[in-house]
Amino acid sequence: MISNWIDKLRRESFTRRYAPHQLDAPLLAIEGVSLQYETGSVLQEISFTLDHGDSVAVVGPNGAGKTTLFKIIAGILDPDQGIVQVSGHEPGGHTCIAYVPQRNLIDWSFPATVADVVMMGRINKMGPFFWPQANDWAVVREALDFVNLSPFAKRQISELSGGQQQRMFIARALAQEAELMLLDEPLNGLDMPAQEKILEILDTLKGQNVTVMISMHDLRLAEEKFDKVMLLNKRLLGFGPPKEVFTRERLLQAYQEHLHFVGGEIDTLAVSDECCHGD
Amino acid sequence: MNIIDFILTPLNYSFMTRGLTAAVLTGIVCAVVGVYVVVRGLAFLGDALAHSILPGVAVGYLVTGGAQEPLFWWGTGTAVLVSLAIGAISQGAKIKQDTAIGIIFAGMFALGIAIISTVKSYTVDLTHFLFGDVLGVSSGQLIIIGIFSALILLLVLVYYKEFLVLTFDPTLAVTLRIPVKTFEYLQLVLIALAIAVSFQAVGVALMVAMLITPAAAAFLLTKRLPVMMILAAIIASLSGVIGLYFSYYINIASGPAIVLTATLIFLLAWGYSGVKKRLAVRGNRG
Repeated sequence: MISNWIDKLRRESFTRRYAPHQLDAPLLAIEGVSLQYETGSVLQEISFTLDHGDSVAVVGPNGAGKTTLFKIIAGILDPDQGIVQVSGHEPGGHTCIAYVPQRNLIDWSFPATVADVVMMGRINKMGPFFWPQANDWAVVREALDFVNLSPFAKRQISELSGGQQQRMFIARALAQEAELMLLDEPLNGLDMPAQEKILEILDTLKGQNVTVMISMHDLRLAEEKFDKVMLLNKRLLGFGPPKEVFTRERLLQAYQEHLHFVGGEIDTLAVSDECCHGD
Repeated sequence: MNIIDFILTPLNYSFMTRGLTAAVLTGIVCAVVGVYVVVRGLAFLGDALAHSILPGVAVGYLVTGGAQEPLFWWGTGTAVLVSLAIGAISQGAKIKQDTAIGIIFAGMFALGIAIISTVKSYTVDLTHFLFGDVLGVSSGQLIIIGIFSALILLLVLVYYKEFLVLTFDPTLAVTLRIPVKTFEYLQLVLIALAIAVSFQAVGVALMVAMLITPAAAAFLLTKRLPVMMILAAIIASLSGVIGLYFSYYINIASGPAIVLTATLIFLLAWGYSGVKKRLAVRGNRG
């Protein structure tokens, strides 16, 4: 009785009402989005549409605006111009968008277990206080199972390897029941097997109709593993199948002097980005 | 003297029972709120906030002619105002946050001392404000401490999950559409209230120890936030009780006795976690 009342009070006073999904609208529609910081323009006139179940690798040099684009889509930043719509409404009304931050932005000494962090994805779906119900635990268990982390559920989060930490965040996004996952350079600093595992998991998500945008630096991996890629450097330089997007001309436009063609073909190009710590 | 006499004798004095109750209550409140201070790395902010309430308390002292009970309201008002001001300054100002906090901290503290220095019994009153006097808590003050302690703990409990997400990953809080700014201010206000409640017990100078020492000791002993809160509350209560007995039997000031006990417990926790880690490493090797 009291808990119902408190829950009602919280929803009405603090929490915005969530936007209903418009079924005929595309999952994500972006039209003419621009953002400028004091230091200069970050994104210019970005427009594209994504459908349910799309899986897109976003590539571009450091400072290309990948993180900024993700944050705008997630409703964390507001664009200066342009319209962002997720299932027909602005992102600020949705809780179905999961943004997975770069790993180095998280305090890994935080006193929480892996299961605790995954449970954080469900706080909107729980009643008042922090009393996860049986179905919340079931969702968390299922999510951990999906990313093969069940044996680690009770570990402190700093005990995980880099790849496991990323998988934990994917599990949290699943627990959040996200329809759109934005993964900000999840492969950074991981060895090949760990990268492969994450890409496998993302591949399985396609079958569940979850839309994924992932920013990355490895063009070859993007080409091999994704049907659609997005080439970004402040402007949208290409969006579509890798063969069409990764042309010599467009890549030069994106990477400029950092791009060296070792052979004559795309598969022998080399990109030298000074560092890979994101933008 | 046997152990039972050792424990019961001080309880014959009503100032001791009131002091113990106040020390335990304020200890629990500071420790629970202090968990957020420790995990968010806000120790300096906590220290600054504690010192910043001095001018408010000083003005109250002058206005009411030295009465103790109204001081709580003056302290609370100032603490909440300063916490909101710090919150506003830290939202996208050019000056770095710790610099801004330092400026407010020193300025307010100086203002407080300046105001108190106009009173004749200057040093006596100042000592009282700086280091507290938990044994001087009246029944009326104890009731106020009790009510506010309950209010603070209730807010922490009701908004536990919002604070949890905000503290661990603010971007997740945004995508879950939690009103981040509101809760950031609420967290600051909770710290401010905890400080105002504990002002009488330990004074402004040692307040930061109440906020961070039990929470830091608990941090070393657990890997889960709710457990850390409970452990911090237990450590703070123990520090309050043991500290006051020390104060009674070896005749040292009550505030420092409580803080020294908490520090000792922290050192024990630190030693224990070090040994545990070393054993774990050895276990892995073997």
